[in-house]
Amino acid sequence: MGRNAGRSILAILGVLLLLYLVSPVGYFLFQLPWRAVPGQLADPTAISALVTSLLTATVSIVVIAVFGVPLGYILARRTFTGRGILTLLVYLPLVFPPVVSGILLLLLYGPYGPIGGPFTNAGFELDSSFTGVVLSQIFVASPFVIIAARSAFEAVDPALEQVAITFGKDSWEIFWRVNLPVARAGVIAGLLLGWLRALGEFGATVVMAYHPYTLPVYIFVQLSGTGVDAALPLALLTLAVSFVGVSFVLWTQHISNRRKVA
Amino acid sequence: MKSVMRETNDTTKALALEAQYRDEVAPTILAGDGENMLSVNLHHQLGAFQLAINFQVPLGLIVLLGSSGAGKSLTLRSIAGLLHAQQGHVVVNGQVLFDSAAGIHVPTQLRHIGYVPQHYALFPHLTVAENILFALPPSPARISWQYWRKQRAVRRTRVAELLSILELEGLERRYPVTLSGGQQQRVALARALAAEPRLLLLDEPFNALDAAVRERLRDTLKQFHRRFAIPIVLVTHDHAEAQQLADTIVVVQHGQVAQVGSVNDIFYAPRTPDVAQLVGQHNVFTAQFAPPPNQQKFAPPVALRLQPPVPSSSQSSIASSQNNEHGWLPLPGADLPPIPSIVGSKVISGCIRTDEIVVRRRGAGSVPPMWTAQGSVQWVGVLQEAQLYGHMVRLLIHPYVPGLSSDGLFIAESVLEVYLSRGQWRDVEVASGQQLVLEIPSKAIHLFERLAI
Repeated sequence: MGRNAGRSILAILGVLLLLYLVSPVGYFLFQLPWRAVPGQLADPTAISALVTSLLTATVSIVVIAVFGVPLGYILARRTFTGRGILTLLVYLPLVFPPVVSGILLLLLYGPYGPIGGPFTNAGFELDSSFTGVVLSQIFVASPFVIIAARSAFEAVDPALEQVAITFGKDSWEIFWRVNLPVARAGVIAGLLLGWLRALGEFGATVVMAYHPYTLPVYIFVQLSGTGVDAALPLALLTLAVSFVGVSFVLWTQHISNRRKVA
Repeated sequence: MKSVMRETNDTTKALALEAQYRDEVAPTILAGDGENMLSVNLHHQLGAFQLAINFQVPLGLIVLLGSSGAGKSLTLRSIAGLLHAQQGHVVVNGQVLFDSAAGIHVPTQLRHIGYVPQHYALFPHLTVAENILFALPPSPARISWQYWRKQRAVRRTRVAELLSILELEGLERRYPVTLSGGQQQRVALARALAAEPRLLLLDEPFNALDAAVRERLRDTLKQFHRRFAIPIVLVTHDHAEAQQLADTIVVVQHGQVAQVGSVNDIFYAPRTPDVAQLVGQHNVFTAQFAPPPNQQKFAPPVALRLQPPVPSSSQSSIASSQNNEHGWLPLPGADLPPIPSIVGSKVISGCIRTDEIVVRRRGAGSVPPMWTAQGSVQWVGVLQEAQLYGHMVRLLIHPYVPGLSSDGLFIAESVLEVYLSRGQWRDVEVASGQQLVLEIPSKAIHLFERLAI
């Protein structure tokens, strides 16, 4: 088989999948009753769902950043017994069906759970609340950040750290002034992906915190209550946010690659 | 007189010589009381690899020379404190940085030892100036705006100073990736200096550079070393680099110190066959003391007779036929350092120094005599190849060691490496396949102290 024939086959295979991935979005944009979009987006419930989603996703990602980036660093740099198991545990939320994650969370943090119970009695519900949404999102989105941070820190030349030690710097300072800045692009990409994952989170959230509505939950409510037409403008909204988010991730990666080459 | 000597019992004489050599084993540890000395003793087991390094040398430009995987970098990292050796000590200029027996292990942060790893490890996210600023010792904290501003000015001045010393002016705002290899190296040196180290460790600093600029940058490093009088320990596998730079060379092989000495010691008198190979003395042979055949006119009572190579030895070792008339080498003169032989064995090993062999055109006459009046031996060889090698000419010659019978024997497979200046080569120049006369004086012969470390 000629070299070109092989290349063509590979290209055709790739293009076929790409078509499958893009065509629903294309048809959706074609199908969308564009005139009805502004009216439906003005729906106060939709707006509050959007605000809830943006706020919860942002709070979640801040929490994940504070705890998850150090975890990624430790997984990348320290060797200790149980590191393999720890890595496995980190991957688990990624592969659980989100609904199952929601059920697990509800068991522990729900009104009858060992942690959720006392909080509920004290008048602070962990489920069906802003907190509940955040807890679900953290559970589901953390692996993205931890894994991205770990590979970003792994890519940092260990010699940088060693040299910094010879300059008398302690590990706290070295983390902030060497490892984190050098791994920055990868960590930021991980945080953005995690934020998008939190924003789109539905399965765990719908079990753990049906209220307050996040955008995905509200879309589901509209879909099951009113039908596809009512859900379409909201879908457009999420698509737009995702598109902007992913563009930003790719842009940050492009910037960091360019700096490496320059 | 000569006839009298020849009549003495040659075998007894050979044994006496052997015994004399055996008694004088030169110590490898240079004396010193710790002042201006670097004393390193490290024992560390890393998987199957055993590091057992022990040397004490005057501070200066110390080169750890050895092939890759010999344990040089591990040694360097232990001196820096980045590797915590299981046993031993590290003492720099009388200051104990590590002593397992006394339970001392000064952390790297407090050692004030500069470390420049192979690829310099410049911080990629910082500019040249910021890289250097990073390494400056922190000024004592005080809450005062004026104080802070003054400190900032002091630090900036220091950076400017370092930039100018290493000729980096104009590059302060550049990021490391935009610099050439040589510039990166200078930034790494400036940054290491900024921390005011008591000792500077350089791990293969010229490896990442083009061959064309290496030699020049080595000279720069040597000047840098002289100018700042900062002790340096440099790791390399390149014997030319060691030769060009070192005050003291520590040869590291298989996790151990094979030899310590000046450039001259190491290159002129390698202690073991391995060290000889490492420093480019490839004409390694094994021989034994024996009386040469009586028929030779100028033959001394005792000389070295080449042994056939053992199967495992390298290609370049020289063999001889079993015939008693072949493969004689002169003994080194009395002005050379004593040569201990291998205890319990009559076989000794040595090398024929590549740059002490005299090469002449073959005259019209017959096979030259084996011994000259000056005590050299003459061989005939066939030129395999002549190559330009830097400013020298490198000859590969198949020795052809004639006995007294007319049919001399080629020494199978072995090739003698000879270096001549271009001028010397011009006088004898012959084509490949042609014969040459090799004169091997006793000063060309170096006998190893030991067969292995």
